[in-house]
Amino acid sequence: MSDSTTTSAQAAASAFSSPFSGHATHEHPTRDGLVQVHLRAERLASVTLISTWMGGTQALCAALGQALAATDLFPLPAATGQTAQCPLGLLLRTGPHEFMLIGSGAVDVAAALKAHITPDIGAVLDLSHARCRVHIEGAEAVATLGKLFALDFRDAAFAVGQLKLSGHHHVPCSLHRLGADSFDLYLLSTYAHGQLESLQDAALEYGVALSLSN
Amino acid sequence: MTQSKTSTPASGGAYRVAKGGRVDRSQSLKFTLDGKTFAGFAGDTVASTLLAHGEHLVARSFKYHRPRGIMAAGVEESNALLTVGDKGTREPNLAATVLELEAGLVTRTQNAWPSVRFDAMAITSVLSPFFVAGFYYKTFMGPTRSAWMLYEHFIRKAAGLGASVNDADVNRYDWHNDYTDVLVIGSGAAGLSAALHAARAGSQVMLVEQDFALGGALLGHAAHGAKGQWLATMLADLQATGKVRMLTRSTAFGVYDGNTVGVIERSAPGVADAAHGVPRLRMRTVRAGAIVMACGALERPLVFAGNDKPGVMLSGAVGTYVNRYAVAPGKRAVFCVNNDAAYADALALAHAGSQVNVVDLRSAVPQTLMAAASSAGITVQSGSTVTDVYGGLHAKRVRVAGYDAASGRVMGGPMELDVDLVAMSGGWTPTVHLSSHRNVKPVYRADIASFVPGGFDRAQFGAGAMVGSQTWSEAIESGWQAGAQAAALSGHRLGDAAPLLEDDTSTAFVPAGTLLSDKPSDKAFIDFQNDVTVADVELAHSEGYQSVEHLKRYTTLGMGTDQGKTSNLNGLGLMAAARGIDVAAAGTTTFRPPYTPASLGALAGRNVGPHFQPERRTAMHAWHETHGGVKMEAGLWLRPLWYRTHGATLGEAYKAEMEFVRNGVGMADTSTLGKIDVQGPDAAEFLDRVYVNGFSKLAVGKARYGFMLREDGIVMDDGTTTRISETQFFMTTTTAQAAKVMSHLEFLLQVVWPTLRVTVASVTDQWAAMSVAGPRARDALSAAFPHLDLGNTALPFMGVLDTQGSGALAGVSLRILRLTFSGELAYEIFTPTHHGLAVWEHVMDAGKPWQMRPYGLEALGSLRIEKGHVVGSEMDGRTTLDDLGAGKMASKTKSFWGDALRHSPHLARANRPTLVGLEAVDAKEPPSNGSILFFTDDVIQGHGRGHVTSTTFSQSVGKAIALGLLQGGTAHVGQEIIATSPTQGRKYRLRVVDPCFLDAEGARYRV
Repeated sequence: MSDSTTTSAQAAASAFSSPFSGHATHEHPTRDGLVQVHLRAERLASVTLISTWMGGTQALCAALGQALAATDLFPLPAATGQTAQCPLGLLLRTGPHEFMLIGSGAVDVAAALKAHITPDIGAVLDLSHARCRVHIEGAEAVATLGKLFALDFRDAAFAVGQLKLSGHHHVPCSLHRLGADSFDLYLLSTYAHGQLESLQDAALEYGVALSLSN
Repeated sequence: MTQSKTSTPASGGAYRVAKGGRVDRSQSLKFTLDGKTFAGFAGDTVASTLLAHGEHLVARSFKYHRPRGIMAAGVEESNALLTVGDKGTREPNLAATVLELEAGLVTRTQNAWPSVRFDAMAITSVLSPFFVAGFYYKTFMGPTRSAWMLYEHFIRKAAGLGASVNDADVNRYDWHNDYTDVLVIGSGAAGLSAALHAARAGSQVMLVEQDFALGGALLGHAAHGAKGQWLATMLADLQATGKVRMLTRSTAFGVYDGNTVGVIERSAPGVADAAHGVPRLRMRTVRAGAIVMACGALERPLVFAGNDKPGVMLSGAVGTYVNRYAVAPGKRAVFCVNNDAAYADALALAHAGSQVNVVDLRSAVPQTLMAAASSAGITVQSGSTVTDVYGGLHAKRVRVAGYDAASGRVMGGPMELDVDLVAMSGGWTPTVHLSSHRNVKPVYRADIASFVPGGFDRAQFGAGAMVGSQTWSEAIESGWQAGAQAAALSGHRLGDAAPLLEDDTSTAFVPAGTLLSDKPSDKAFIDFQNDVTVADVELAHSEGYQSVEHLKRYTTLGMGTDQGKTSNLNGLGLMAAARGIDVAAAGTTTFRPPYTPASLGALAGRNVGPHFQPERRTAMHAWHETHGGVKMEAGLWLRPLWYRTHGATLGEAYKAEMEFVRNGVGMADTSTLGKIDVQGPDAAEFLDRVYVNGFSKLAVGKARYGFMLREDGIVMDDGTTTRISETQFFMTTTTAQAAKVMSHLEFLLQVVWPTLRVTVASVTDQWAAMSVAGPRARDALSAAFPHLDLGNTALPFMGVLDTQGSGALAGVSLRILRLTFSGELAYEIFTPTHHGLAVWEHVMDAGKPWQMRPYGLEALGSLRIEKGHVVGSEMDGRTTLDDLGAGKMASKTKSFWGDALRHSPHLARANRPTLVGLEAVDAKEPPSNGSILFFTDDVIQGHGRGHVTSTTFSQSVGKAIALGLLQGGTAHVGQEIIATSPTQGRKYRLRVVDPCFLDAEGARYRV
């Protein structure tokens, strides 16, 4: 990496602001001193939407498979709601003709994908600033989410590793289940401040702690 | 609030039975009624505590202000409605019978002044012959049509039950979504049986019970008896399955589409804690694979004179108070019954030490009951009925006469008995409310003289007394079967037999004649809560209100907080008899949610205050807050309307903000614009079809303004779309229509033109945006981004520059569009959202030499009015391209969405209101938005010739100006017209002018 590139990246990094600005790391226990819900809010380094039109899914999957070197050991998520960890990050199947790739920011994901997904196959769109993530875990994480989302959180309906597309107050939100009591929520950036507030409020009766990353 | 515990509890009242009951005598709790303190035990209700202290009189009736006492032990209570709490916790009309006793509870009687013992409004009881059904309709008809407005004021003051308060509710409420394989509603014998079967079969079960204890009618029997033991065993078995979630204090109040059930759960005493987020009430939206309704049945009152007096109760309630709460509600009781089951209540009271007589309507009583009664010292008089109850504030004496069950007639041989308690049991009415919510009409079963569910919606089942079971065994078996059917829907089966209950009894009854009295029928009450008497029903019949629905509305029978739970069947029976038809032919009224009153707080949940709706913030939100921005809601966005740094008032500030945009440079946060990425080989073709003007020939790096129409030819939205590459476009929409346009585009691609190879994605969240506008805009931006050539040649009007920042903003993407909304030289800067604040601050800092300042939404709107640019006020869902003066933009060489219908005769007619400019002739204040336009010689009435859409005071013109839609439009330029505001009673003289007030040639921005 050249000096000028380093300077440029550092400058860009210093130019970031957080959609969670105004929130602060804090803990609000129950009357009995319990904290049963932990929230961690963060800006995302890289989010890429990969999509195509009706009739284009097969070609898109082929190109995406090549770009991500998908194999039997790493198959593409076959249906909406399925997810897979791939070399470039976490791949979420967000629709029949649509994937979302959550990357670490270490590589230029869009450029890597565009090398295979040409405009006649589909679209590669950077949404790194359009989504934020809130991680929620704890004994009452499911109870908290049950207040906001009309989703069946029972294992058979929402297994670990699955993604659900839902919404609170008609504002879209994707929920990725990481464990029995552990989820990542992908929120629209401009709503994220208020939605984090809603999550904290919903979790209040269980005792809630909030931490902020970047 | 915490429960108080004492090691030496008080006796709990003079009527408290020394032993038994399900109350916890180790926990004494005190509450107040009208300031007087009463002590009870944990596990008591307010009603049971009052009865333990001999307090029956707790209310005055709705219409006649008759003294009323506690008549039931559950949700069917019609009389004992109290106001609970104070100020921000106050709630009226709560039934004392379901109010769980809580230390420190503050309650008040209602509908009486100065007290329930002496109520001044009881004068209405004397005048009751005048206040018959239909009194309002007949009395307040005249003398003029508007006279009602006068009467209404006084009637509303006198009418109603309880009173609400204006204080903000300090409690917290919540919502929750729940899912389960099987939802069982009701925890009586049938419900428990159904839950156990479904759980043992492998289903996940949610069991909801409105009471604070599980057991339903079983709780009305001794805990140490066979039924009590069966209940204990069942609860242990259910617990052992590990599959049943048991929710007490949870009322299923409505059943909706898709097996969705509304449940309101109350917090246990002392648990609610708003400061720690614990709600008083929680509304659960339960979505169930299958539902078993085991809602039981409610005891039916008998109809005799004075049946509403304090001291007259339902027989089952007496049994419940004795067995569950260890309270004997009377020392000298008469039970008037028509069935075997009520004998258990009489025996319980007798065993508690009271003197008991049973008057049985039936001519023959089973020998076993006679023997049991005899051994308990109970005198049984068969073929008889109570006909009258005497006493002022409490029942003191009853008149008993012979009764012929076959003919339903009262006969001679009257005798009188001194009493302090009258218990009545007229059989049972299945609780068919919830099954009826799915629009399944109840059907009448003559063999049990009751309406039962006429069926169930898909994946819904019924069990127990609700479906007509008349013995405990039947109820248990029907629950078991319903549980099996419900479990099977989630793929679970079990072959076991239902758990048996020894000591079976029957609830079969001999229906009573409708009126058990030979006295005038205006003192025999059908509906206690609404003061509907036998006489009212007879009057309704005689005046032609004979349909059950008419009967209900004419007499108010079955209305109020209890929704006729105890009155419906008796009322229907009376009307059917009067019409000479059977009850089945008379039918029943419609049951609608909620089953019991639902607090509005619970329905609102946490969606109040800041959580009422989502909030949307731009990346620069914090900057606006710290720089005096005054927020306003624009849809869900919070936007700065104006800045306090520019004036003390909105009026001052926005004019100042306009001033520096017109003469210097300003910057506005325009991040709220809708932004849509359109990509694909057919993207240009798609936009050609969406917009009225062409986009396929738009060069890469250029932007174009366009309109899109709805299918019906009306304008949907406008905006600027930029060509990023041959196959990619960046569309902007208005803030208000962003979501609608996105949905519209998706609809067109998925449904109308599915073969087009195009993707669309909202990028509103991806890009922050700011508009730098004013004669010095280029100077300021050039200072901010000195490495960029922003000159008119390099970046001409409607040109686009996709680039990176430099210096402190190195690596930050910028998309700079040269376009204008204000009419000045202007640039729209887009940058990824998380860089928005940094770019804003950087540009603002660079613009200091030119005194660059922010401007808010009010100035933004006023600047565009001066230019005659349209927004949602003009594109109001009724206007066409031609109405807005944009007809020439429509392509004649291509087809586009909405093109066909925009030429329809209705939209093409000559006298449609079209866009004009309006300027004040003599006033400095602009007319109000929405003012109606008339010609000077018009009669000022009706819809006029158009209306004012947008107004402001123009610094540039030096006048109040407006945009409007006027019939004939600009053909009237120069004409003076009148704008009237009927709501404000004001008139304005206006002159019609061209809608563009400033720089029609565009010289200011094409530099």
